[in-house]
Amino acid sequence: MIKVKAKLLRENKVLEVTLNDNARVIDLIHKLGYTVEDVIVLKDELPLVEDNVLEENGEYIVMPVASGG
Amino acid sequence: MFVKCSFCSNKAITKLRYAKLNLCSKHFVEYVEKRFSRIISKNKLFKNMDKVVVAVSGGKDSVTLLHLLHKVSKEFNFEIVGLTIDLGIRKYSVESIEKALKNYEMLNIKYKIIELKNEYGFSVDDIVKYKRKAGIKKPICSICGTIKRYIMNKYALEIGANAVATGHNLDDMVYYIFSSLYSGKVDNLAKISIYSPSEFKFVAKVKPLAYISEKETLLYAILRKLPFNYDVCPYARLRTFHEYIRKTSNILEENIPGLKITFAKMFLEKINPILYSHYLSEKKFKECEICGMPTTGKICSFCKIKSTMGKVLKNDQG
Repeated sequence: MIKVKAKLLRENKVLEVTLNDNARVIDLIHKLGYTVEDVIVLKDELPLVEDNVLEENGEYIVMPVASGG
Repeated sequence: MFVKCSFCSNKAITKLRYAKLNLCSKHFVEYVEKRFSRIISKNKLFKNMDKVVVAVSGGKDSVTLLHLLHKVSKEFNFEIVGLTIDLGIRKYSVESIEKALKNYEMLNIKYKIIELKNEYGFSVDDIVKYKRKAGIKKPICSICGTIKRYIMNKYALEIGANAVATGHNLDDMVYYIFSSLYSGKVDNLAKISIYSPSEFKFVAKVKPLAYISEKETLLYAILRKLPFNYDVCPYARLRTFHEYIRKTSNILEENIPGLKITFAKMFLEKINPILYSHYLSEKKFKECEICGMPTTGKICSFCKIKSTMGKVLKNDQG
């Protein structure tokens, strides 16, 4: 199992999420209750492809796409 | 180990499932710009137009639209003029206008800011506050839409523009189609189009982002480092039905990549033209008795809101 930090940009809160070894970005997205169309996940200010493998203790920003304006 | 771009050896930053592509930052920006240009060409969106008003709220969609249109305006030979409406929604409007201005200045584009409160005597915050007292039953997003459409059309007519371009994206189109089908509003279905021609005192309406998803406009704005307001309109939070439709269409899209584009495309290209010819082409407009803008009744919807709000605000101050 690995642990990562997910900063939810709109809610302005950080969650510690536990996932299986070799978990990918898409697994984090699903664990947080989103689909790949709902959010953009960034690391070091760069968006990530959903197939990228997550890093142990990595810090990820989760940016919901919908603006509803 | 990272996922490579389908066109070069750089690291991919997004996967476009519907196109079966992984793209790096450079190739994603190029891909969106090419698609945008193709959508305009294929649908002849700006044919015989020399001046187009771009409605810029300051959010990701309208800011992306402004930059994409600025890029293609030389190729398609038209001038663009930005229009931002200050709706008077607390901090949200202040932040949005600031972002819109930054983009106009970045691109050195002519623009106009119309303040609803100064120009017409009421704000969207006023409507929300006095909605019940004023007897306004429609949802605030619907009222806000009426106000924006009226001001955009009036301004475009005043400056002799041929069209108003708005940042409605693929997700908006999917929602409009679904909700109009759900509620059986055939008139509304007939109006949903990527291009609505000018008629009577309406300028043409163009939605060049109709086949570009919300995720793609956000990615484009992030990668190009465009200033935009990421906040959500405080009144949009009340739209539960809209949220469910958006979530459901995204679940379907994840499982059936390309579903949203196909759904919108089939409706816009195959179904809408039939509905349009039956339900809208015969519609007769006349001038509003108060402002002279188009309406199907005696008084246009905007003047009704303005008059109601004028009375309520006057009573409240008195």
